[in-house]
Amino acid sequence: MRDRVQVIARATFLEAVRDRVLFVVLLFAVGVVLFSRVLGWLSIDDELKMVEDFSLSGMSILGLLLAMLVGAFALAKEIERRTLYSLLSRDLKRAEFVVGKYFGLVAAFWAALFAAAVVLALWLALWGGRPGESYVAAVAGLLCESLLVTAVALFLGALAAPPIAAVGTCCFVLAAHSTEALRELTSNGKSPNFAAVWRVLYHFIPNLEDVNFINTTGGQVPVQWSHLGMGAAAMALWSAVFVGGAVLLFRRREV
Amino acid sequence: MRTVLETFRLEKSFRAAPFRPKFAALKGVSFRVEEGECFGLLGQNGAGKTTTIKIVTGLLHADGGSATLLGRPSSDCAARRELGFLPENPYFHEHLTPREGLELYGRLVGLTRAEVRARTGKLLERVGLTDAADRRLRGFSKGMRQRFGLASALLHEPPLLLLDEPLNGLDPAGRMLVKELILEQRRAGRTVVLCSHVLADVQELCDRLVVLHRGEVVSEGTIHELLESAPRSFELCAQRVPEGLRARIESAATLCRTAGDVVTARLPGNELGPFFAAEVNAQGGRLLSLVPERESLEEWFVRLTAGTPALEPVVEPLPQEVMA
Amino acid sequence: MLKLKVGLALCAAAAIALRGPLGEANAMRRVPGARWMPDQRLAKLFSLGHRSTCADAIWLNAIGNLSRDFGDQTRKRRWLDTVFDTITRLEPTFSNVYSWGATYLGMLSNDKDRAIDLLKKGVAANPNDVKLQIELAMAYFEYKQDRAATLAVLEKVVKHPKCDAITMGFYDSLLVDERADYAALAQMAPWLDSPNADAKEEAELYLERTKKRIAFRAWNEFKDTRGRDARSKDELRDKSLMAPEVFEPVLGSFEIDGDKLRFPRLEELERKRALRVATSWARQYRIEHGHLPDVEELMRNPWTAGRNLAPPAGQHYVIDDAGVRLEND
Repeated sequence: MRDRVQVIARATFLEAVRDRVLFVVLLFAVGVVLFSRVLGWLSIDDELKMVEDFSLSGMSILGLLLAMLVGAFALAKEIERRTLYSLLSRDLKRAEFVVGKYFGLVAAFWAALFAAAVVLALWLALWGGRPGESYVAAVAGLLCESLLVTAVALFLGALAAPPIAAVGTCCFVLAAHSTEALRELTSNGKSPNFAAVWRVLYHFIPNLEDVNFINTTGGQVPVQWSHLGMGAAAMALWSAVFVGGAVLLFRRREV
Repeated sequence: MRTVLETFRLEKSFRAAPFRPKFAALKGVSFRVEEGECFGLLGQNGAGKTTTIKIVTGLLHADGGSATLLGRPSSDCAARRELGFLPENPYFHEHLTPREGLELYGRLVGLTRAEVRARTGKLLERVGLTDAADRRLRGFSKGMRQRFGLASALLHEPPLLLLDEPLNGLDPAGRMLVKELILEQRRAGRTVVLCSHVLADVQELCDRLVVLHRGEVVSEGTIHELLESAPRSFELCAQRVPEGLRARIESAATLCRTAGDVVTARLPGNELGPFFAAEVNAQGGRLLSLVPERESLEEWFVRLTAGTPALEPVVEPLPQEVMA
Repeated sequence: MLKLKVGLALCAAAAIALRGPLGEANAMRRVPGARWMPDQRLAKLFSLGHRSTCADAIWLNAIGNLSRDFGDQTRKRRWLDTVFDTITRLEPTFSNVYSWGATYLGMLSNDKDRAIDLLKKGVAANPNDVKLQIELAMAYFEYKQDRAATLAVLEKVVKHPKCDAITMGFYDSLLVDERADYAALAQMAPWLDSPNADAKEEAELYLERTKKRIAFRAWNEFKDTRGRDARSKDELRDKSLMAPEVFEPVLGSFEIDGDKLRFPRLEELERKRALRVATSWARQYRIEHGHLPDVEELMRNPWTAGRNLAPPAGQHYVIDDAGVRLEND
């Protein structure tokens, strides 16, 4: 089983990296990294912080765009182009196909994120910065975020048409980044009933703030690796839930 | 002889849109394919051929009935290791080259990387794609895709080949190549299930066939069984025919032409031909050929699926004045 | 095809022509000087996880507007409060905002209490940030002359491995005597050799002010204990009135004129400083209004108010491209 998943993952990885969309989105992220230096010039004594913050935000958006433009279309493209016929007519379970697709996409997106991270690290070093532990944690957090966002895109792609899946993925990311702030707002708000409801809902909505370390690179706060570890585990578990959902949806799909 | 592929009362319905009634694509399709034969699956557009193929290859789930591949349910993935499938108008992952594509498909049927590499070169040469082995499939013509599809189906030397319109889009040389490949597979003892609209090819290649119409099997058997009938007419070709006999032939024939001293005539029925052939010989002429004309598979198929009963052999009493 | 091209060209021309009247209409909708800031409570929600980046963006926008003349100082103060609060909510570890914000509030807006409050907030959010703690200590010392509060902050700072030598020296000097006289004078010593003339003059001004403060304290304490004004400098040469190490510099900085003390060097430095401030302000005024201010505006503007700008007898102000200067009548 592992071999077959690996084979599909490899084919998906090759397809994604040879796709112009990934290249264009990566170019956008690199453009943000380079342009952030200009923003740094506008600040007082915070040039490197501006570069790091804007670039990491750009990379986060890179991960979201990849999930929306590549991940949400992954399954539908195979069905529409009928390339699926050549695969599923062989010794390949649908579950293996979906899981292989997922790992292939994650590998491709991680490669893009890693490339952007290396460019940023070199850019920072060029201007006198020294990417340290907090930078590594921020990038690790982005990679973990990409795990979940890709899984959600794949799930939604199995559920609905690709454009709806892409929009749904974007909405999910916005919601998942807002849960923490909403919890804070509602707990200080005027409606205790709403606060109580939200406290329950909060546990059932994946929280991307668990692996969001892009806001701590400039400060003196030391990296809490245990926090990142737990966040990564949570992302992995939620990803498994969404990929499992995609498998269940795809199992009975007429192709 | 063992059964390689069998369907039993296959049923499948589709719903064109939500809240609309279901449409029955298959209404209890049953047939059997024996080992080593070349089997034809025929039907008009919308008869249910593609649905049947998709159920056999696991792309669709049947609503009722069953399909087995070499004794195992077709839904069992492991059973598909024994199957080589070429879909109609195949599409492949365009970012891959033929080499990479074969590696992908080969690994999925249990071949190791080394085994795939060992077979790739010979296979690509056999289908005429050696020069394009490292070009991306995106730039391939329809014919090239077809040949690559065939190569991917043959890669793991499966005992059963399921080919849906394998000659589609090929030039004459390509068609000849594919036919040779099919015949090679037969000679090697493999079973081939061929689905094609080009009935001349089916007639040429297949031993047995089944015809689907509106989701049901309407006919099944060997070509010989299905088309056995007395000749509809004869085509007679003779030289140095005496004038009197020539006149009698011309009056009896539905079509007659003379070129020099050679007479060619189409004589209806199944008796006039042999009769006049004997007369030519008896009267000193030279019989060049006497060819019986039977109903073609295409004509038979069109009649069958249009609802007209199969043509009965025409047996007409010889006109007395002709025979006099 | 030609009709299509002509039609497209006409549409484009019409759209471009509309730009003018639309621009005017948009300009009329803008309230001059208004700056919108999102509600601080919603800032975290709308940042969608990119809190640092949003804080940076707001800060970049704010920097450009800090010196803008809002006309209504109450509105500007409200806007600044919102800016600092929003940024520090989004990113409590953005130490430069506390630092620069406090500098702006304390030295340019003349609101020393809010400057100290902002620094206290920064220190609470960044307990390991030595730089902020030093700035808070200096704010207590400069703005409030509160030695106890300064020492309380510095006590923790000097134990931090990243504390610099100058701060440690300053702390030590604060402990030298209860009156901190020596510490106060020692603090500016390194700046007196600065190659930067302005920095050197600022340091000297600060030093003279400190001498004046010590001199007045000694003068008043003498009066309180003896019941009369000191008649000579020698009467003030008393270690119960000031640290012995500062006798010469302090006693040399003033003249006794009956029941008053005069500080000629300090007056000269204050005047020079006032002129420098006035020149800066005039240049800023010119950038914002397109012309130089007149003397009346100079005298009543909040930037320069409280700096004792009244020209000495026999002299008047002249404002031109070179700046603000005094000329004889």
